[in-house]
Amino acid sequence: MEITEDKIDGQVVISLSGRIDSTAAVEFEEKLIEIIDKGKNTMIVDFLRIQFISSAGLRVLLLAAKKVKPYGGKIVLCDMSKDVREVFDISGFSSIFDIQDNVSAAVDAIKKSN
Amino acid sequence: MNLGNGMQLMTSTQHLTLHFANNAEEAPRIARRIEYFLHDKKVNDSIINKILLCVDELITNIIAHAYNDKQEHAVLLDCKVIDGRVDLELRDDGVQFDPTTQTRPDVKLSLENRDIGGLGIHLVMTLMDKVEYQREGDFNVLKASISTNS
Repeated sequence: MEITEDKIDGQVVISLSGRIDSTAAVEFEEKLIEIIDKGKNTMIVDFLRIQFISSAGLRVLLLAAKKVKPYGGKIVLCDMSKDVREVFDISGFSSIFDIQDNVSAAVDAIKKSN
Repeated sequence: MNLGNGMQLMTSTQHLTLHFANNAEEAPRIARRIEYFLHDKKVNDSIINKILLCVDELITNIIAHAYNDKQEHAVLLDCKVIDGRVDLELRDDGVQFDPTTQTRPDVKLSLENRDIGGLGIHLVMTLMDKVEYQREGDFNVLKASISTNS
């Protein structure tokens, strides 16, 4: 898995590629915690190049979302493949995360909620 | 074997057997081997990803929960491509644990009340077409299969 961090219209965009399995989840958690600890409570996670996400990766997203919520923050997800979306649906995570079609829509969603 | 009408009868069983220790560092190697094997057998990427996800859940569970001692244990994973499906079999000598009878998580809870426990097993039970558990002597034997056409 590779993780990169960009800014689009001032919003932090984390792009992941490969598998978010039990091994990659450790690095993913470190990255999200690092961003939150820098005081950033709202971010976008781009799933465009993700093969799959296992429950270890879902756990990281859940922890991060719980951490930013008291500060009015949120984590917006985008660019999910049909297979990744299926895992979110099965887990019930589709109803606890804001999932947008692409990065532009995710940036717009954050602007509207501010 | 030539059937006389130009069709070749293919050998129907293709087999991968992996032995690994109950150690999280083994997970990437197992995933790599299974991915290569299934790719080579022309299983489509969507099915391969579902299988890799399920294997990650199952071996993580074994490593985290099957053993109370600090000893190293051998776990066996068998993967077959046969008659339009992929069969997995996992065998460990850990404490008796039947994932198929575990309480499923409540996936309708709000963010505040959501907990991640049991989600991995729930994913395996939902993504695979069939999951069966048997205790054979000192071994947990879990069989899971998925159609290569879905």
